[in-house]
Amino acid sequence: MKLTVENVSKRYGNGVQALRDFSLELGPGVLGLLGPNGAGKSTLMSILATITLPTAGRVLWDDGKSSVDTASHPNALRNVLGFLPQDFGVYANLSALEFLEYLAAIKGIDSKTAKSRIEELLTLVNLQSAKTRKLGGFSGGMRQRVGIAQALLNDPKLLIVDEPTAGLDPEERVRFRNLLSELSHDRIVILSTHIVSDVELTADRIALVAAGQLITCQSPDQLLQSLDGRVWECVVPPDMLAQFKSHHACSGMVRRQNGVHVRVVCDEKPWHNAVSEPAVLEDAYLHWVNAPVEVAA
Amino acid sequence: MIARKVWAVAKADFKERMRGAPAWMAMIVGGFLCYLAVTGKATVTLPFARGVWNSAWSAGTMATLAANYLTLVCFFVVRSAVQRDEETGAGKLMAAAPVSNFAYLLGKALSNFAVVLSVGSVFLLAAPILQWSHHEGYPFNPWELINPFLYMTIPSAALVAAMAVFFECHPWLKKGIGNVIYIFLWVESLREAAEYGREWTDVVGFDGFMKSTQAAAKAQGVVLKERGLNIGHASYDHWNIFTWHGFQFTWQQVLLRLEWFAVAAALVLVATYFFKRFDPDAKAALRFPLPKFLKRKPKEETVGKWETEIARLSAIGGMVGRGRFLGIVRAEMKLLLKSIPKFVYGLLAIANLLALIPHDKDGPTGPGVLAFLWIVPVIVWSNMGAREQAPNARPLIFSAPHSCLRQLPAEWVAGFLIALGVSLGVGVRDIVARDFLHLATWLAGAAFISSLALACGTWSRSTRLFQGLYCGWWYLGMNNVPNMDFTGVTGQRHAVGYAIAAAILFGSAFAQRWWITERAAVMRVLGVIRRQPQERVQTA
Repeated sequence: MKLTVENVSKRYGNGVQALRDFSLELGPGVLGLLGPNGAGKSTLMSILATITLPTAGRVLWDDGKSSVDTASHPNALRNVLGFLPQDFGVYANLSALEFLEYLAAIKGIDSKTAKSRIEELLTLVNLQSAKTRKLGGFSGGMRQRVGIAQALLNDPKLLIVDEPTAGLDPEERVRFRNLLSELSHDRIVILSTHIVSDVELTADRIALVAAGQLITCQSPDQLLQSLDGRVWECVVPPDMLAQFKSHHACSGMVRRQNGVHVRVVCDEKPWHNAVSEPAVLEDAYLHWVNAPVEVAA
Repeated sequence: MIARKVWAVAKADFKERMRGAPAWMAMIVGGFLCYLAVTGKATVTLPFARGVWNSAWSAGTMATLAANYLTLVCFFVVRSAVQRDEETGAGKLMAAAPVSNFAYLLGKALSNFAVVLSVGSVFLLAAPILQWSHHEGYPFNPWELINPFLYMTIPSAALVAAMAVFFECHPWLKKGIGNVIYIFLWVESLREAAEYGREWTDVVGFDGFMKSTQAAAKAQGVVLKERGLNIGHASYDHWNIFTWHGFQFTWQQVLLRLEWFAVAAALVLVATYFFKRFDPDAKAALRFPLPKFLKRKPKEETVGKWETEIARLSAIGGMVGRGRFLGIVRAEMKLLLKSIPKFVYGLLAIANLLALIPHDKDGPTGPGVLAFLWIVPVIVWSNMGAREQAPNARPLIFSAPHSCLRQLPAEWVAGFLIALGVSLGVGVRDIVARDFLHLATWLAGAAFISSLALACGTWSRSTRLFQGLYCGWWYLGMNNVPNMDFTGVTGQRHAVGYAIAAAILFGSAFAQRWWITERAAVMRVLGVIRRQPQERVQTA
């Protein structure tokens, strides 16, 4: 089972270049997709989910028996695809049960299988007691759980989730992260999010995307190792802060009585009182995303 | 498997729709029409003739009213099946599922069909009540009660259902202009059926109804001097009464009615070409490929980093709320005019120049041009009142201070100025020609348009009500229906009446906005809402 993204570019009708020559190969496991707003993550997701077409390049789906171009044979992928889009809405007047029954049918699941699968999923996302309530009365977190349930309806081999933990409370977030980890055993999971901790705790590999390009794709450990000895914390006087910031990439700032405690990613000691610190994923994210693309590549 | 997917789409969409307000509103309004029919205020008659109030004639009356109502009103009720999936994001789930475009759109069309028939069922249920209320043609005959609906209502409902899907998928027709085009198609189709009597273009079945009833009348020795069908209130000194037992359903008639199901299926099929499965780049898929030298080079976008030095921002606390009213009017005008393509300004300029040419009273220039000038910006006006009530705009606009006293009147002024601005040539001509009566009509008409748009938008929270109502009103006015010409083009002069109507409509829009944004403050002053929580704290 393999999903290959080959030199994919996407230019929208209005001239916006959302993706440039993007290549990636994915096997079972969780891929975390990280990048700033407008980096092209949602466009990539739409292309992988066969909703929009690339203007160049191709996406190949290999189920172990044959490999198909998803643009030419979208249903080959759609049959095994689970997708939770970012701006996910629901039919406000349908109940959770009716909505899932509807989606099960359009995904081609026979009614008997769908019935038992929906019951299982409603239990999994903790919505059994609310399954006959209209979706219009659901909270944001409950709607998101319905979204997660629908994405798992057809037991997908490729699961694409865009900002899945938005609207979930901390406990639900942990549950969902664990669920993703469990699911990734025998399927490909692509998780796009702004929440670095979600990726850090679930992803086997992290793809950093900026300005429509893949900057790097490494395991979280590799990303952290790349910053060994390059993360510093120093105390800067408030009146020097502006000047300091203009020269260094700061990943954190806390104002305290003795000055501003600044966390910096740079090759050399940035300030006389700077102390080396262990890197966290946020440092790596800021470092790679702010680095010039040719250097990063 | 495809049938199950079609069924699933249709079932879910139908349930969603029938549990929402618009379908029920359509049924209630339909019920009111039935009430008018039962009380004799809305009848269907032939010239100087009517049928005995048996089951067939009662059902024929109701089926005629239903065909009229369903083909117009229900089109707007059901014209949101695909759009809702786009807005809610549910469309993306469908797009990523293995369901074909045809199966999805057929499911939506079937759901539309079921919704239209559900609304139509109100008329079916009212038919025996109509028969009973006249005490004329007992007993009840079930076949005769259903017969006219089978002939007239069901085929037209199928066509409306499919047209709604087609209009939603077509990149141009899905916009506001589609609503306007539909209104004119509807009017033309009724005229076609009433005037020309071509069976194969008879969507609503009026021609068939006229021919069938006329044949029945002729067979009973009732001679009709002219062809026609009166819908509404008709009173003659002498009625020729005949008995009609419904349509005969010859093979030819059945095929002619099935024609509309075939047209509906074809429309759904063609819609699959335009439907791009909620692709965010759908426009590009439909655009004609341009040669390389004609393509505009896209601008490279550079995204700057966030400026985090808050100290660099100036303090403006004392300036908040000092914005001038004219500034808001200007902003509202900019927003409204943004949607007009540049070539339309050219058309309007030419029409205004034509308006300045001296003319005969009934000539095509002069005030006559006003008819054209005041139908072109219908899409612009239709945004008034509705734009700020969109779910994503509402919190922003209504959380601004005094939206009721500043933004709403400013929007009305903008609409009024646009009405005057697009027809300035007419005003100038009236002044030069000293036609002050028409000048007053022109001013009142402009005020009426702005108020009607604002009231329709604020109450319905949609652009469609104004588009439908205004086009219908405009059309009736242009056909010289008494009191309906707000432009003065046909020689009617109702400046005072339309000025009063404008004031009432604006007042209703204001009341709606006040209710949303200001009522809490006034109610607190009146003591309806008390500051309970604070008192409780003190007591505790």
